[in-house]
Amino acid sequence: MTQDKFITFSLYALIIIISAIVFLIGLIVILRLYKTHKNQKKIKQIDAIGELVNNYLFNEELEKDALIKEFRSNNLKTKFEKKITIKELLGYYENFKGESLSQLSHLFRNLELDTYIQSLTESKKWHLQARALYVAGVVKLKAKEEIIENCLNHKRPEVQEQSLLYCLKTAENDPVSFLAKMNQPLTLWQQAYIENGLKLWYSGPTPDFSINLTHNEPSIVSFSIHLIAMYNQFEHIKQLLPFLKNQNEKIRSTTIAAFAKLQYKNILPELIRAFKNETPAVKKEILIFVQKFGDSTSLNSLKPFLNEDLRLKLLFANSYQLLNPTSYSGPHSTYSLNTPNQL
Amino acid sequence: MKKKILVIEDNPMVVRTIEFKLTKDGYDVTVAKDGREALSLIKSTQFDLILTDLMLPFISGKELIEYAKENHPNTPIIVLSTSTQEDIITNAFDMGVDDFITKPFSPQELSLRVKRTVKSFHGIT
Repeated sequence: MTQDKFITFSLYALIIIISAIVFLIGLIVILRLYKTHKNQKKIKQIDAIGELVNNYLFNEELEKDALIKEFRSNNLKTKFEKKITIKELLGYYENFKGESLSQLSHLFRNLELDTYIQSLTESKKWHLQARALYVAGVVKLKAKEEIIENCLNHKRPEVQEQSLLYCLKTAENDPVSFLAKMNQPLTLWQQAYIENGLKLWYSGPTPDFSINLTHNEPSIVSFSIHLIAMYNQFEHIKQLLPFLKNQNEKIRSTTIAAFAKLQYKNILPELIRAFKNETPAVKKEILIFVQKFGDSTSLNSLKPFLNEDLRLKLLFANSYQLLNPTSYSGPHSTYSLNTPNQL
Repeated sequence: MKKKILVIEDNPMVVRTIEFKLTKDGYDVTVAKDGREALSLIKSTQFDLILTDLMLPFISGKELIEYAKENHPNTPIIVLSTSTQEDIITNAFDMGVDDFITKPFSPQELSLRVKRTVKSFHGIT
């Protein structure tokens, strides 16, 4: 009886295992066939786009409206076809310039891909939204302001990043005005993107970076001060002065670095007075400032307030050597790096 | 008789456009997708102009230019490259390249430069 049960159990187990194997093999075959079919469709679509672009740009004998009408009815029916078309057109965007590029923009609009992208920028799926913003930035499409504002403060960093790049790529003037709409801290990566984007994509009149100095977010204020210094906007020096007494440490240190970059020496006495009560990060910027614009007397007045911070002591020793080039920095000198206790 | 142009480029999108445009302009265009294929074509066929990228699989554009200039000194060469570095462009001209076009490029401008180069080397286009 027990043996009968065992045989029945084994048979059932065998049937289940064989069914699972057949199912798995079937699934793999179906997936493979699906992938091959999709790849063939993709290749066909890429071919059709290539033919359309080249005929649209260089074939004067063909009627352009008819070309577009035919492509739209045969090759732009599904989301997949639209996705491949947009991806390929972006490739042409990257490789072309001049008259061909502006004709490509016309083609993009005539294929009504602009309205498709605009609808995707309003999508609730973050990945679609991020991708649509990227395309809108490259093709310079106009997206709704409220959508961009929401995206700038989106919880997904990918959407935030793409909306920020969109603003930079499409700006004709005031490329950093979008910062006013942000209510989250600017990350270091975002700051790097903006700085780089300004050099790469923006070609309008020199922006006024002081517009965000009144922002509530300290990282945006500090970044604006950094940009003012980077672009040598001396006209904003007066506006920067109050930031030397700001409560935020990052803002104070960035302001000192900005004044150093702008070579505004007048604040030296104020910095020396403030040194003793400052944090190590701000003290570091003050030491660099004194190294550039001070003398050995002003530097020596800071010596009692270095505390036991080794990095500050090293910077001090370095500054001392620079301001007193004839001084000896050997093991028995007053400011030897080997004898930090002497400082 | 149609002038023969060899286009050496590994980006299919760029190749397709150049091939389409130059064929439309009345040239006989041959395409090589890598340096090895290009070298065997240069060895077997006499071209009226070579249009090449610098960054190519297997054999670099620089090596191809050196070979072509040594063995076919009368074949003009135009470089189409993403490089905008001054030293790379200067090096290319030092090797005897006749023109240098940077990517992104204008296909219309490329067509004009090809026409001008072919005309200056072979008289007619």
